Amino acid sequence: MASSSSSLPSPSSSSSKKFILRSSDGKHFEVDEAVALQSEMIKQMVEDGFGGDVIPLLNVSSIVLSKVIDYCKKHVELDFKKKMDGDNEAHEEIKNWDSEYINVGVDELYHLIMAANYLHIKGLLDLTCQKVADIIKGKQPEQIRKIFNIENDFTPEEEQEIRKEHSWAFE
Amino acid sequence: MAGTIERYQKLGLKESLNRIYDYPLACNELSFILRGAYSKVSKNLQALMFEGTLAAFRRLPEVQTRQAVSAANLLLQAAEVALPKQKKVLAVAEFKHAVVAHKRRSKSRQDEEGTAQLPQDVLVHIFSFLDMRSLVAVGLVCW
Repeated sequence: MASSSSSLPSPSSSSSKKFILRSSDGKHFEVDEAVALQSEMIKQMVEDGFGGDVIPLLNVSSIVLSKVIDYCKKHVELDFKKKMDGDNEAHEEIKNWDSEYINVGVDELYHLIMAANYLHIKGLLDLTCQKVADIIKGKQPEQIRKIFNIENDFTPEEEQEIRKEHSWAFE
Repeated sequence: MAGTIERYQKLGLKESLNRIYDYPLACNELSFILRGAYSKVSKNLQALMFEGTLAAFRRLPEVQTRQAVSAANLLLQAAEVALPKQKKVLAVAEFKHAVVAHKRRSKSRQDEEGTAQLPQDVLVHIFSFLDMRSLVAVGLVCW
């Protein structure tokens, strides 16, 4: 993972600039410029002149960061493919890859959302938030509490009140 | 002149500012009114508008979205253009207080609820994908 690979330029990407991202637990990830710039936050940092050697990402652990990098790499690749072979096929491939990628548990989903929000990766934020919405859709409040481990802090009277107000939704 | 006061009150800006989801819109509305009408209305109505502006800034710390912050910024700019000097100073001071309180609050929220609390911007984003029925169910989950 360390930067030692820089002495051995790989033929496919030797021309592109590399960035090193440092996770909150101190691990280093070397990525292509295009991959790093999927993050609006990193893009802004680079534009403001902070793109030096290592970019510290204080809020993202190595486990989550590597998963986020997977997403960015794939989307750079697929965006390129989309440009080359036209829209339709690549569009389908993105959809399939995304739905496979986002098939994770609630805990992991939470960390991905936080990372996507912090790094400002719009596509990943949309994907993760849509996933949460899909989980919630059509469920009853008790089921939602159970899935996300949320405590019910309404008093029974308050809950009754709200239910009465929106009774049409529970018919 | 009484007619304009009545019309202003009919807008219900004060009530809207108290509803988190209406806050940005109400702030924007108020800033347009300040810019467009402040210099042309009676003293009484000017006082109401000024009061409304201060109230909006005071509410800001409780509304934890980026949208609200940028709406409050717009309102500040309008206040700087429209208000006379003394009132302007008061409004700016109130705004600065609000921004500090806002930052402190969002920081302490992150600290204490370090467990698993999503930022309000993200929650709004998630809820934007939901249909009405699911939104009502979500509203019943917790405070």
